[in-house]
Parts: sequence; C-alpha cells; structure tokens
Amino acid sequence: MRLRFWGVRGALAATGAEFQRVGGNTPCVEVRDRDDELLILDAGIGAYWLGRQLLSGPHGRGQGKATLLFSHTHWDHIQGFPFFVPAFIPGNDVRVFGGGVDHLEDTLEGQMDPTYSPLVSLSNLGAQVEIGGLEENPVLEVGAMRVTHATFPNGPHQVVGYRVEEGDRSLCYICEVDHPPDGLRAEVVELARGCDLLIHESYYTDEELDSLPPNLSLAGELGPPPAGHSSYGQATSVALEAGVKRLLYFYHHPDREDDAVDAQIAAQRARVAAAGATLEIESAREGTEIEI
Amino acid sequence: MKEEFGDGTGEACFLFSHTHWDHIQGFMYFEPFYRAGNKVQVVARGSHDKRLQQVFAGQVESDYFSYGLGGLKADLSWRGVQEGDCFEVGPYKISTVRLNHPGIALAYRVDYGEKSFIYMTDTAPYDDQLLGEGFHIRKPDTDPKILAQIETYGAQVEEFVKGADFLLYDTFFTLDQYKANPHWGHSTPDEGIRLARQGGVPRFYNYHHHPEAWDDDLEGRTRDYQCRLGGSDLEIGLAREGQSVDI
Repeated sequence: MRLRFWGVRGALAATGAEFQRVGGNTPCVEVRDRDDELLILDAGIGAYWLGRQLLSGPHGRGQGKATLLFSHTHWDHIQGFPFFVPAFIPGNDVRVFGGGVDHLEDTLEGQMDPTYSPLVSLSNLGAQVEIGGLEENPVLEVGAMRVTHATFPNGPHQVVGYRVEEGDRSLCYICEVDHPPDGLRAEVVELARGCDLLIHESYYTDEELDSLPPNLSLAGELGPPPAGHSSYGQATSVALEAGVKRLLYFYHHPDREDDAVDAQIAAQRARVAAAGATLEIESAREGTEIEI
Repeated sequence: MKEEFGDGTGEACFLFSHTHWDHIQGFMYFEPFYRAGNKVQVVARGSHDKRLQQVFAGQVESDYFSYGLGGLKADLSWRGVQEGDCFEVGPYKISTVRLNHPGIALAYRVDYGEKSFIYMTDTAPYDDQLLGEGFHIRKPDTDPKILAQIETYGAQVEEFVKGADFLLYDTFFTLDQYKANPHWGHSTPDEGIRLARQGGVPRFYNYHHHPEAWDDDLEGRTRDYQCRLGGSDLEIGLAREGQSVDI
C-alpha cells in the first residue's frame, strides 16, 4: 500500500510561511493498492489538490475510479468534495461511504444547496456518484484492499475510524476522537491493534487538553466549546497500547506552527524512548508519500 | 481579543457578499462571538432577517458542525438586505448593487466622510451571461428581456463604482480561464480595470485569487497590467493577507 497526504490540518486551513513544512489543508489522504486502485480518506481542502493531480491519469479521461470514505461530515472533512474535479467528469466512478450519519446523501445534498454552493445539487456532478452505507458493508473491498471500520460517539456525533488492509499490511485512520479522561476509547485501540501505520488526530497538546475548562476549548474561556478531540500524548498512548509499528500525528490545530508541531514530536519521541518502545513516530505532512 | 472584544465591549458588523461556503466558513471561528457582551451585526442578501439567521444556522446543523449558533455568546443581530438598499453602520454609509453570480451576490460601497471603498466579489462581467436565480448565456435566440437585464445591471455596476477611491475586485480568472467558464460568476482584471478607469477610480486591487494562481503569477500579472496602462494614474495592486491599506 502507498499513501500520500494532501491535507493534515484540523478545523480550518492554515496559510502562511509558518505552516509550510507540515501543511495547511484540511484532511485528505490518498491510499493506493498494488494495482493503483484509489481509496480516499476524508475530503477536506486537500481533496482539491488530489483531484487536480488525478486529472493527468485515467480520471482526466473519464476512466477513473475512486472510493471516498468520510470519518464524519463536519465541514472540514467534506469541504473539498465540491472541488474534487474528477467527480465532475462523466465516465468516472466515485463511491462514497461513511460519515457516521444514516443520511449521507442528504448531508452532501445539503452541502450543494444553492444557498451555500453554486452546484445546487449532487445530480449536477458529471461522474457516476454512488453513495453507499457502511452497515451493509462491514467489509468493503477496494481493489486488493479490505476496509473495516468502527463507529464511536464523539460528543453528540458519530465518527467512523477505518482500518485498511492489503495482504499482511495494514493502516488505521482515526480522525477525530475524544478519549475518556481516564483512559483510551477501547474501539479505537481495538481497530488499531497491531497495524503497521496509525494515523491519529492530535488537535491538542496534552497541556491544552488538561487545561480545557468544562465546555471550553483551547482558547480557554474565549473559544468555542470542545469539539471532541485528542492530544499528541493520547495518540501515542493508543499506538503503544495497540502495538502499532508507526504513528503519524494528524489533524493539527490551525494555530500550531511547524516549530510547535516539531516540538510536540520531539517530546513524544522522548516519551517513547523512555518507555523503551520501538514505536516510530512522525507528523503526517502534506505531500509526503509513504509505503507500507 | 486583545482589545475591547476581549472585555466584551466590542462592536462589529460583517457584510457578506453572499453565503457560498468559502465566504462563511470562518464564521464560527470568530473568537469575539464567544465573549458575552460583544455586539455583532451580520448583513447579507436575504428576503428577511429571520431567513438570514436560518442560513447561518443551516451552516452549523449537527451534520456539519459540533454545535449550533446557540453556542455563540455575543449579541448577534441579523439584517437581510436587497440589491439597491442603502443603510448606515455606525459612521459608515453603505450602499449595495446586484452582482452577476449564481444565487446573486452583492457588492458594497462604504462611504465615510469624503472617502469611499468598494468591495466587489463574486461577479462575472455583465456581458454574455445573466446569473442569479437562473442561468442565461447570450445566444442568437436569447429573450430580449434577458439581454435588457444584462444591460441594465451592467450599467448599475458602472454607476456604482463611479468616483470611489478604491475598488477591491474579483479577479479569480485570467481572460482565457474566464472564456472557458463564463457561467462560474467570476471576473478578470481586465473587466475590473475597465470599470475602475471608466468610473474614475484611482486604485484597483485584485482580490479573490484563484487557488492555483501562485504568488509569482499574481505578482507578474499585476506588474504586466500596470505596465500596459503606460502613463495612466490608476494604481493596480494585489490584495495580500495581513496587508492594510489606508484610503
């Protein structure tokens, strides 16, 4: 399996020189199997740039296929969908699943409503777009890849975590999750168990998470209520607990500049080393390609 | 938040050109909304105030966001306006005109003392299409009523910019991109510069840049347009994040 990050930022895109090494687009990950079959995890703004890249291949000629999986349907995870150009090209085949809602088509239709979008309706997408349910597909085949999932509550919402396997290789994608104060969410640890690569959100630092007053966020009393996110330390804990080989921190806070991300990773490396673990850790970075 | 908004004594007014996603996606992340006492007026095109509030509430329905407008602590007021409306916000006199965009967008002219500034995005030129509730491209058999509307609205825009000090304008497209996508409801520097020159506006700034217009392209293009104008007094600028401009 190969994967490439097109967006690694949480909540809002981050622009400016301070965000160039990690990247500023909202979440989107491209996953390919050995035959180049395409799986996409979330469609934040990164999906625009992925779509542009795809145009030079079969997707540009209306002969492309893609399977898009949403972790959930909050804006930062779907905002790139109306800008994913392959979905406008007749002949392309786009399958869409997930979102943690039982009405994904309505949700995406609402996104295209003329009040909010010039697209007006999903029916204006030129490609063959099929919206499917995960319940009927506990195991989803995408080429040689086999996708399983776990759905867990995150505040009032449901979020879907994915595990993708090809042969004996596996990756797990968790974005977003709020772990209980006294431990880790068991479904997440179970889904990630023994995988080669874990992509886990880390919106907060441990200190920020600890100092969140009830119902208030990173910005303290000045910010919005917590959306249900986890920290760098919790991501590390999940990886250690689940016996993961490699962890990539993902969904960084829009205020978190490159140097601050690096500092977080250095601190987590020290923790892993002190624990005598062999876990490999790094930040997911836009543009980076990874072979599993 | 370091100033009066941090103390809950701030007052602000947002003018929205329209409510397509790229124009409202930062709304819920505006920190002064989370301090009780701040007063914020939200103005956008809407048939009535309540409808406007519904549009913003719809953006944050539970499918799309963690919490609704009820999570905001500031005192919000909603004002639905129509093209042609004039109103005051504090010391500013605001007027509006209809733009050529799917769903219709509004341009705002802000007059303050002797100075005036125009915010004009998103809009196609009023030449070969009429965008709004419907969608009409000029063809040999186009209904003459539509052609007359294109003419009328175009003239209104020309009148609207007349004598302003500063025009911030939708230059999403190059000319070639515009020709390929006239129905998208976006414009070019060429059309903006035409409006500025015809209206006697001394300063024209490119805005609403295409996501694939790299810094070097934008800077190069801006220089080219300035060169092409030769001895003209029109200043051509590029709106840049973090930049402030005195008018």
